[in-house]
Amino acid sequence: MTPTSFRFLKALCVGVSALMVVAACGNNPTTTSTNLAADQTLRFPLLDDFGTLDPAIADAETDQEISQNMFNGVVKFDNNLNVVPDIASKMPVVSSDNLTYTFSLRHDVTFSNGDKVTSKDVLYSWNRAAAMSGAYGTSYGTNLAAIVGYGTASSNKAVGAALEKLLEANDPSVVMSGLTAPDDYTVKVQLAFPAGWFLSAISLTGSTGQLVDVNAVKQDFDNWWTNPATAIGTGPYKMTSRVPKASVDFASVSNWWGSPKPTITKVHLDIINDASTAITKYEQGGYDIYGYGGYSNAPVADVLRIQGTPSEKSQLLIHAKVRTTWLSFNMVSDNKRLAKGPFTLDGGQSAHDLRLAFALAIDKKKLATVVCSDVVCEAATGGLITKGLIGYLGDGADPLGAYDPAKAKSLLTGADPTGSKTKGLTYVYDPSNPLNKPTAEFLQSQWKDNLGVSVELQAVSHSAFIKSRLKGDYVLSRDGWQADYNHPQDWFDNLWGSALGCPDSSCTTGYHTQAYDDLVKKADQETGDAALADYKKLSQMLIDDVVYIPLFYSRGSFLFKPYVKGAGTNNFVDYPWAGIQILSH
Amino acid sequence: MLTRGTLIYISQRLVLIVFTVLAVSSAVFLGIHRLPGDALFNEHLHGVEYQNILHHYGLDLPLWQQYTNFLSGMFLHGDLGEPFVNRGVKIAPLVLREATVSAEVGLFALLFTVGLGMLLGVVAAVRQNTWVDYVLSTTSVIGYSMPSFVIATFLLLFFAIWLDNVTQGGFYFQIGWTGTYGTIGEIWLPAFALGFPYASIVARLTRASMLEVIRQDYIRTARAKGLRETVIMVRHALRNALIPVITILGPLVIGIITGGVIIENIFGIPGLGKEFATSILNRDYNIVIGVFTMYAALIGIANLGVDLLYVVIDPRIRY
Amino acid sequence: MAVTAAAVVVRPITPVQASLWSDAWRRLRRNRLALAGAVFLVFLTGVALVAFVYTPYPMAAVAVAAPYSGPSAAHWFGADVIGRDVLSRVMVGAQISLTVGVGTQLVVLAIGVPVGLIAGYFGGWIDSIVSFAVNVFYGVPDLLVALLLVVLLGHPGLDKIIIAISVTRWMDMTRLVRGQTLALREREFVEAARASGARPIKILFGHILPNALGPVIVQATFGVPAAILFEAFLSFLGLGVPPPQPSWGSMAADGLSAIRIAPHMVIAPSIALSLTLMSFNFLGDGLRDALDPRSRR
Repeated sequence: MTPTSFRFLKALCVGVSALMVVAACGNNPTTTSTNLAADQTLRFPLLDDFGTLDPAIADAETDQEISQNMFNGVVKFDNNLNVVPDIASKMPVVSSDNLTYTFSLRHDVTFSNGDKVTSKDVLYSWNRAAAMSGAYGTSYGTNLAAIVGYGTASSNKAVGAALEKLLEANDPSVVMSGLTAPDDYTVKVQLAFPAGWFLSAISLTGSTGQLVDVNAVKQDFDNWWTNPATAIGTGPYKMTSRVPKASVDFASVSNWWGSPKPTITKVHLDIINDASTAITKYEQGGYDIYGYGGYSNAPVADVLRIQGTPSEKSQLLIHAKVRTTWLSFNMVSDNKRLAKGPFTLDGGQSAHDLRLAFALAIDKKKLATVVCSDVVCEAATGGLITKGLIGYLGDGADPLGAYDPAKAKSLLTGADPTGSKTKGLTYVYDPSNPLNKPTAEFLQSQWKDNLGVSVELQAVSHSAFIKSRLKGDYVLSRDGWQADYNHPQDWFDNLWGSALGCPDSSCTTGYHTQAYDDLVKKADQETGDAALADYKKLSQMLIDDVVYIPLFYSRGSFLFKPYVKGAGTNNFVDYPWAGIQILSH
Repeated sequence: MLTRGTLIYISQRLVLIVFTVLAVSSAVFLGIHRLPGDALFNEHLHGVEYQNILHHYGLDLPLWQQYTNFLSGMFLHGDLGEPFVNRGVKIAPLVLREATVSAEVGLFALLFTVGLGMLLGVVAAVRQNTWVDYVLSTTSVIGYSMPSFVIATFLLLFFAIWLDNVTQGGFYFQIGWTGTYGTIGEIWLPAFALGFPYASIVARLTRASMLEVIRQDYIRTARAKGLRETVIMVRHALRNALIPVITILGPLVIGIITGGVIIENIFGIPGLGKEFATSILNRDYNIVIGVFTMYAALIGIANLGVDLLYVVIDPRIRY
Repeated sequence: MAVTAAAVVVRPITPVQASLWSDAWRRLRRNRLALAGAVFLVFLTGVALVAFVYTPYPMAAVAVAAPYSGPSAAHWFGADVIGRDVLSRVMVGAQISLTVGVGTQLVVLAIGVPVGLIAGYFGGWIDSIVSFAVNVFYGVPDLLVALLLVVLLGHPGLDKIIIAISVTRWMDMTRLVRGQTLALREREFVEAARASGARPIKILFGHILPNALGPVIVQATFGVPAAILFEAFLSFLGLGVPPPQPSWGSMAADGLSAIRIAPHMVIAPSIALSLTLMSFNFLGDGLRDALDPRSRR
């Protein structure tokens, strides 16, 4: 080749490659396979081992963040929190009275072991969840509570292999009569009342609405999910190995029926109890993501530091999480609730004033500044339901979120002139979230400075939390709730009221009044704006009775390496693993 | 060396270990069982269903029955039950695995402690009252006066973070633990941090003991005979200077085992110490019993090993 | 001018009557490290006492400075996680460390000395029981037992910690005193006392104990830093004194996670802790060298 033509060829090559680069930058890089790394393994840390992966029992954020990749339900939330079909081929047909939902299932859904999914799998999974709700005391069994026959199924007491026998025999004691399967791919659900929250409840990620394989479950009713051979679901990922409390590995299911098809072929999770260690390992390149799996509470110091490091700043994502932290009083004193204390409802107006005094003595905005540096949380001034959710009262709309030390002091002097009632109080918190201890110390100093009351602090681990409240010294405790889906029912049904089990059954405050119980029952059975209006009245009830001291709304902190695409979070959960890709780096 | 007497001694000690394990686990089991506030309750458990959970863990049986179940489980089946917090996991294989990890790190720490400590002690003794001696002596005092978590953190800062930045990721200490047994690259820094305070103690002891030995007559004789200084130091002096070190080896090993609790928490090593700290804070009493049992066994075995070492080192000792 | 024999006054050399204590004091004074340690400890005690009435800022006052801010003119040691003054907290922490350290040793002395004396003097089955108990306690890891005890005893508090540490550390003192008693009871002055009809209590506390006092003091002096370190470990694991009381250990633990942006939070209590421990160790070394006439440096 002559030099001139060589140079021309070179120019041509350069030009063509330039065009290709431009083309690649302009379009979505995920469409070109040349960008993907050869090793599609995703690695991230968990700060604690998960408790269970059985959708019928799972209630912790970690459990659900993982199992959402292993299981599917008939419907699900998309990344924008809209309910969309999952195993169902289209949205259900709802009768005009809102009592009957008819789901049509896809024909191509299979479990990771090849078993085909039919309508009887839906029946089995939901009946099992309802039956376990009674015998195992699960948290989210009540998501199915609107279905006819749930009452029967959830009063079942059989467990383990015995329960499995009953389920397979379709024994009436464990079957919800309102759940029927007219044919192999149709499921008809009969509700006992027109619950507007039903679709949201069964869409809940990694929870009671999700399908399990009877062939796998019956091998070991309680522990099938611990063993990769029997941890079978319909999701795009399956467990391949597990070393308890040390690590877990997952692999993608080949020819998965759903979409988007998984790009990540392997997921490796380490269990590292210390957040700072995990972040250091992330920065060393040992992990690709931080914050997934329900561990988005990075220590403030690390967040501030990364914000101040130019090379890492862009990897940090601070995102609102639908989580509120507040303080609960013990409101009931009976022979089962030993806590007692000066804040109980039967203390009448003076107890009410005492609670209000304690509430108004806290400067919530300063709390957010001092404890969170205004970065990982913001002051909760609009009610308990987190900002951004339905039922949020509006910025500054919650009178309990105000700061008025003068009024607090005068209320205190009126309600407790000698100071005898507020002697020897203890505030209990769990140090698992790095914000809780500084919050506790802040509260302690505010009560001391503004009210002159000395409150002791007691740290109790997360799982021992409830029990310690019933032990005797606790009267004040940190409390919190992370919303499961965007509906006030999720809050009012799970935190207060007799239906939950208050006052005697591990109910934080013990709070239950006839007015509350009646109204929440009414609201749960309504739909649309009528329901929302009633839930707002419930909020007002809580405010009038000073059931809580609001503290802050949390923000989650995530770290994503620049070569990780498709990872992120909506307010509730992480984006699923199936949408993530690792670019070459 | 492996005489009949020694074998009898070993078997006696093993029996003692079994008894100690029994005593310790019983004490913990019975002591803990009287407590409320354990980890069995999450936020939504309702009163009636709580009975089923109790039944699952056998907590609704009378105490003596629980105790006999516990003993038969442990000695006959090697079964230590299940944790309260994580379902579907058996405690026995869990603590066994973690004990191996802790033993690994502990062994490295021990080798480092004795090796480095003795080396520094000898050097300081030989160079007594020179600047070498002063530097080493001061370092050793600092070594056992500083809390190990401070030393560990600064080491971590230096080797994991600063070195990583300075060499642009070329050379640094990788935090964490891969696989069941870890790699040397992950063990050396925690072992160093764990052993450093004890190495300082060994160094001081070796130095003092060497100084004593050097003044002995037989050393002068050896010098008069014309042996080289190094030969004298190593063959004669060191051997005898070892004895006090061996004396403290028992407490040393125990110190390393308990120091591991702190170090494992800092370096994220999945060992017995980390398990202990987390399960105590979680009030997961089943695991606490299992961890204590494992620790009692580990310490018993370690002490036995030390006593057997005596036989090797000092020919005058026979069992 | 030549010195004549007459001009030289010959002073008779009378031996200075030196008791053990004045001799020891003389030797101690010459040990510069031990002196430095003692001086520091006196200073520390002074700071701890002053902290009862004055600290630059109230030790529990939140947000007196920006959280994580470093040393400055207004805050010599900077501020901590929620904006409290670190210097004030270090000062109060001195109270806690000294209380725990000295308190545990007092308890250990109260247990170990009588038990060791009795076991060593009377021997027989009493001694067997005591030795058995000592061995059992030695076989159990001290940190773990202390952790468990602190958890079991309910609300963490200074007294609970002192109890927990004493329970795991009484054996050293007992063994020492027992050994000393065993050695001393064969001595002639004890025999003489016995022959003259003195009661055992008088013998134990009047004759044996005073002669064993040296090693006992040394042991106690070394025991203090061990107890302080122990308490630091407990606090580090979250089981020490409850907030807002500032133990140096818990201050270091709180500061560890922020070490990359606010190292002063760890450095201040760690240096305080280390200097205190070193001082006690140097002092102990000095006392041991001073009180044992046969030991060589």
